[in-house]
Amino acid sequence: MTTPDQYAQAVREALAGHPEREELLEDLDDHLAEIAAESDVPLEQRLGPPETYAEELLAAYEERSPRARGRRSRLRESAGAWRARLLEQEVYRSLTGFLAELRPGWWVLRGYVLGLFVLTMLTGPRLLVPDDLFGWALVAVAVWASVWMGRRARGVLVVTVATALNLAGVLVLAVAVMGAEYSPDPDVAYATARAPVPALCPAPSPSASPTR
Amino acid sequence: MDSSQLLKGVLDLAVLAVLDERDGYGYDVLRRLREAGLDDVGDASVYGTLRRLYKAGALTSYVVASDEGPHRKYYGLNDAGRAMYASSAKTWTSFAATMASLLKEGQA
Repeated sequence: MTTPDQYAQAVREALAGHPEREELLEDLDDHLAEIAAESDVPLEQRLGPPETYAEELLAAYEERSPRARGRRSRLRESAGAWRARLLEQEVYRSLTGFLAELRPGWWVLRGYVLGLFVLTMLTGPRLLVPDDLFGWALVAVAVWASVWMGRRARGVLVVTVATALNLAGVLVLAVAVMGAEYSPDPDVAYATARAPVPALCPAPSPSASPTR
Repeated sequence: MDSSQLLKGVLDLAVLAVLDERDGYGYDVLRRLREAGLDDVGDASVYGTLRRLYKAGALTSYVVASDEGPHRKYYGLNDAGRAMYASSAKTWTSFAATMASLLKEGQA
């Protein structure tokens, strides 16, 4: 027969890793001893298995339904475990450190690329650099905004916008690179032939077609 | 309708009501809830609710030594707990009245 001590220990193990476990189970031993003292029926029979007891207890403590908790916390636990395992790897640690150092560079590139993209939408396709003062001013503003955003990337709104900008930046870069290599567009062929640098946005939308 | 689902939403209020009557330890609170007619209430739920209300600052607690059995940790309402009880009771009374009148209309 399970003693109150054994039962409490099993509940404790089921809640292993919970940050508030000790606080939560502070008087569990006394409580279970109380229950055990009032009847001869075994604890497991009266309270169910310790794991279920632990789940119900936590659900009441955190005010949510036991089943929803099970799935979510399992997901969180396995994500956390994966991260911990990755962090043990020297390669992963140096890679994440390296990527963090690259961030400012990416902010500048992102601003430049998106600025040039907007310029292209406004005035037609061009090479890798703006060709007039307005173009340079627009690109400079875009770079400044991108860096400002990167340095302030805190809070849900800013992070969401920054993520969207990152995706847009990567997308425009990818389209530009692929377009420069494979596009059969005569404009691009012409641009590429005229200058050795690949065109940044070689596949303009009809509205942005250059006037020739 | 499964009454354990309904109970989930009002267990806080039920525990506060029992403690408003007089202080009690975990198992005592559970027994009094069951005596009042809440047969479905689970021991773990009551224990978890007590710990949460205590953490939220609604309860005081003190240990009473006992000659035969284990020491007992008693819980009681403090001012914050009494205020919480008064406001939850008001919400529940108005909600229950609304439901009762809704059900009456439905049956008429």
